[in-house]
Amino acid sequence: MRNMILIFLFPLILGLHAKELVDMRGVKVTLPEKIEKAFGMSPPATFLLYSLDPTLIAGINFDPKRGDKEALKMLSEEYKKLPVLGGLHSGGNSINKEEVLVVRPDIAVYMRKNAGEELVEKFMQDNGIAVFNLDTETIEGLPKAYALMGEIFSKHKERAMKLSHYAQQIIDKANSFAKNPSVQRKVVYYAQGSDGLKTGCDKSAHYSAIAFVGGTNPHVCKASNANNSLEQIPIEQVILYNPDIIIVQDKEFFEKIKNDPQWALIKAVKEDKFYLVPRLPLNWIDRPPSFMRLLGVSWLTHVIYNEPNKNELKSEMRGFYKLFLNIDLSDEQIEQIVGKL
Amino acid sequence: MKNSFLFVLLAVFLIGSMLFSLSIGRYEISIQTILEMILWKVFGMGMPPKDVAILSNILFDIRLPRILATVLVGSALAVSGGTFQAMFVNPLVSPGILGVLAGASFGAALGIMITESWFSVQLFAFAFGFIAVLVALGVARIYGKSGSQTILLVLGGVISSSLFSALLSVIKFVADPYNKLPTIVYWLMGSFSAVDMKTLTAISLPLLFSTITLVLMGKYLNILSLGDDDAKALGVRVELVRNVAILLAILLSTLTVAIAGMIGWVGLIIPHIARFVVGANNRVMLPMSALMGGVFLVLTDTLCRSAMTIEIPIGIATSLIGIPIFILALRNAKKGFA
Repeated sequence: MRNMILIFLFPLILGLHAKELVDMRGVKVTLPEKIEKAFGMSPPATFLLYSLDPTLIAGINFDPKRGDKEALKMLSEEYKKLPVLGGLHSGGNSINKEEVLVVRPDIAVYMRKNAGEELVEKFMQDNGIAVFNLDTETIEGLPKAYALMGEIFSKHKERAMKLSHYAQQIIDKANSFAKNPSVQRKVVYYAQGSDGLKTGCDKSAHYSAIAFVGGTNPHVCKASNANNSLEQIPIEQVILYNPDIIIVQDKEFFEKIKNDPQWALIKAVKEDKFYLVPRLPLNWIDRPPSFMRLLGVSWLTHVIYNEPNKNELKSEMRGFYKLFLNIDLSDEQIEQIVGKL
Repeated sequence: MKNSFLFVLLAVFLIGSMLFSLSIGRYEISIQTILEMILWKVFGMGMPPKDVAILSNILFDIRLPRILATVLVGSALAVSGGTFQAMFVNPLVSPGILGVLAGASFGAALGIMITESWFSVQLFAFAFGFIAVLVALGVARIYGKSGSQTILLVLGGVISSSLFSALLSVIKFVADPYNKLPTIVYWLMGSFSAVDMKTLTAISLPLLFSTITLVLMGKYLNILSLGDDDAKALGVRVELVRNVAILLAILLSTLTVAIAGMIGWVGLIIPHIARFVVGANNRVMLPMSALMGGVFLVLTDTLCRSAMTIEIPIGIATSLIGIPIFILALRNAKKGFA
């Protein structure tokens, strides 16, 4: 009789300790009992953790000194002191396994993109580190990613839901432009590299923020596989594309484009409609594709449709930086980040 | 007699290639429109064609500087390669032999990583091209005067090349993976897309000067390829000639790297083909290389910028086109080197 009761209770006892959750690749993951530190295995995942609570991060992907110095000033002190564990980014795997075992995170989060990463997942699981796939790299995935983080880090559930709702609001607002047939479509060229001649295909993940707000990429690639790499194109091709708007990633190119005779006759340049992507403390639309794209989407609707207008965008910036990054922006900082609006 | 006919033929061919290149691009402009445009703009004859602003923009701001740069760089690489081959008396030598290309690549990558301006990237590439050669010469110097000078130089070049290739990997490993690393990778594949009038005017004088000087030095290079002892016996100041030739050849190859990144094979195959056509006499072979190098690169680059909506990196194209040509040329190698 006693045995019967035990057998009956066994699943209940297990259930109390282990919580199961389906991740964003559809895999059922058994979460450890106590989750205090997480390893974001790629920069987008790490920054997603950062936006929830920087103290959750077990280790970072590369020495922050390799990035932008101005950006470094805006990030929290604890973040900069974290151990470097490496990561899955720039097409490589720089994860230092022994360092991971020294730090011993409770869970590793990222989004699997290629087969080689299976080995990394196996290494983590073999060492008792749960692996959880969170879609950190698409804008549409962010509300769900935040909601799931609320489940994983139950102490932060309330804040995670707040961020999730915020993300959903921004997405709904952008959709009201992108999916509204009465809004006029604009051809938006995405200029990267110091010559402005590196761009992404229409289906490329790098263009996705611009596509998300309804921008039309003139650089349409025939290949059925969405090519995510940069493509170098001839300037004559840009002249043929004759874009309405140019979104610029490189500061040196942004300074040059105004006076460069090669670009002078392109519609966007003639009409002064070229914009430098804000990049502090993280790029707003790409490289890495982080949660900052939520603000990037508003900035893009501002430069493409003038909606929100510049004052609304400024107040949205203040709210976003406070909520996601715990930064109170001054007027000077706003100008430093977005330039003159 | 036969040679001067060949030279006229090639010069005509070069000018023809440049005009052909001027008429080709993603933006379609008919030959007739181009002729009208040139007649009107240069000679003040006839009527300006339609859309004159955009036509002039494409022809004179975009295509022309690039075509001139490819001709200059093609000649420079070919002459610099030919000079090295003559000096080392070895047909397999290319402009990278003393570590120039590895050094310049490292310099450019370093420049991309630590500075924000393209001009400083070019400056870094240029400076480290020279530093790499100094390392090679320094290594050769360690062994002093024992043994053959040329073999010591080659050895020094091998060491310096590996050193700077390793350092380049270090830069790639520590560079900002979002913005800097892709730029470095692209730069290493080579491209003329960043060339504008400003760069062209800045580099054309030193390029022209060094190319012409080396072409005029053909006679001394002939004597050098007899070997040091024979050359000394003939009253040539071997050290001086060799140092001047090395300096100019290196100046040429570093300048090309600073403008257009890594462009392989031109410096190796063009002198071969020139030698196949006119023989090993450097007085004839070097100017022939200059013309052929210009033709080869201007045509290859035309293909690169017009074949697809994307631009094919020139370093890839020269290798892919150069390899079959080189294999063909090797078949004729039994005719001998000197």
